Amino acid sequence: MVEEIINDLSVISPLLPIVVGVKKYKTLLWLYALAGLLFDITMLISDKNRNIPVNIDVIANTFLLIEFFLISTYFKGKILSNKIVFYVLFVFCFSIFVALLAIRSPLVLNNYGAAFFNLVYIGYSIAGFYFILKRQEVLFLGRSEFFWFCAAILLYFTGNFLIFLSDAYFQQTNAVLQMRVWVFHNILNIMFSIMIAVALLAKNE
Amino acid sequence: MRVDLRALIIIVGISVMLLLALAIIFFVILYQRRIIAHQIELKKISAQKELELIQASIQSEEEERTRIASELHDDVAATLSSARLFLYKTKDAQYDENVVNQSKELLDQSIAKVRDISHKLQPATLQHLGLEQSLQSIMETINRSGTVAATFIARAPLPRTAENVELAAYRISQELVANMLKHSGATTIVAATDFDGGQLVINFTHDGKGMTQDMYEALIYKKGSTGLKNIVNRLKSVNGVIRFYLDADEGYKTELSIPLPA
Repeated sequence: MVEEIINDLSVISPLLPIVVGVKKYKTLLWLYALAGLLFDITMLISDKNRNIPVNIDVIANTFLLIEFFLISTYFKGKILSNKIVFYVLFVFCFSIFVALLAIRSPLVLNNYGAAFFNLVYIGYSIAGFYFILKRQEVLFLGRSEFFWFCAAILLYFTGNFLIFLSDAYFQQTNAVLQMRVWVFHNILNIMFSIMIAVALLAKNE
Repeated sequence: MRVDLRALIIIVGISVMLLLALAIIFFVILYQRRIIAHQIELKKISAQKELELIQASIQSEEEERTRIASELHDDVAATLSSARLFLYKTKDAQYDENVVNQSKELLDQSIAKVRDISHKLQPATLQHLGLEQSLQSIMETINRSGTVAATFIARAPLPRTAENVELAAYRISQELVANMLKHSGATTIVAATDFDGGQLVINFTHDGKGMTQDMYEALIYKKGSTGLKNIVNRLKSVNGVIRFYLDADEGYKTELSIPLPA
């Protein structure tokens, strides 16, 4: 029961940044929240109605790629000023994800690819913190959208990294524990949405 | 059991990674707070220093006014009053050459004193002959006193430059020499000027008890030390640098460097 409530809250949690930041609908953060909501709703619908002929893992893999594109574009101008280096890294990470996808199957969730992306995002956020401290452009961090986004990314993807990595293992050995771990993922997702909403609010400051 | 242990390791791993992430975020927040505190402290120190410099400048101006007022009142006014009395005397009496001569002498003294005051306010030597001659003149004046042996060495001819630069260099040199005479107990002072690469350099060496850079930097933040604060002010106005150090062979040295305007 509690798990279901948490799951439902997690699904609708991207609504919070979407509503809070509706005036900034052109920003990457808002688009990211929208993509998250659409994906979560698709997941929910397919979960509630098994008759819909949708391969949720394919959608998840697509979402992972969209997420990678949006987050990388967000960090592009902030941590990497050299466009060529950015595109090289982008293509490199993309290729690794595709390679991992091809090794297993495009029709199943690319856990290892997701875990790899998580590591990339953790790297982005740590680089973001480094540049926040180095450039000293913002004196009060609470008013910085970039700080909140970095904090959200670091917490969310650090928590998710081992979840994605161990998902396949739990699926084979302990399905109950796997469900519990995903509840933890849902809690992280709610927290992530709240922090994105704060980041969108902070942009006005 | 094996499966549970792996699950436990994974859960502990997730927790540890989350804790690490939190630690990074807290570190960033704390570091930024430290930077804010440091910036506030720097602003405070800067404001305090600015205030002290302004106070020193005002105090120095007031001291100069007091000195001029007392010289005018005690010397020039008194001498002129005496001359006036002598001249009044000649009004009733017959022409007395002695009285006229005394009056002339008093008037000459007054003129000399006014010239002296004017010279101290805006040194004529500096204006007409330049910094090199003026520094030489300072050293010659000290030498004439007979208590301190002062020497002037011009290592390279100093070019004439902007008035404010020459005046700043002259005033700083005056203050440094005054301090040496007042506090060091030196018996010999050597002033040497040099001009190299657009930089005007004046070196003072003495055999008394001098000051090091640390002492200078500590003193300029202390109350009082008006002379040193004036030096700081004047250096700031011409982007000059001063360095105090002890040379094992030659004694205490003070090196003043001022970039000359292009």
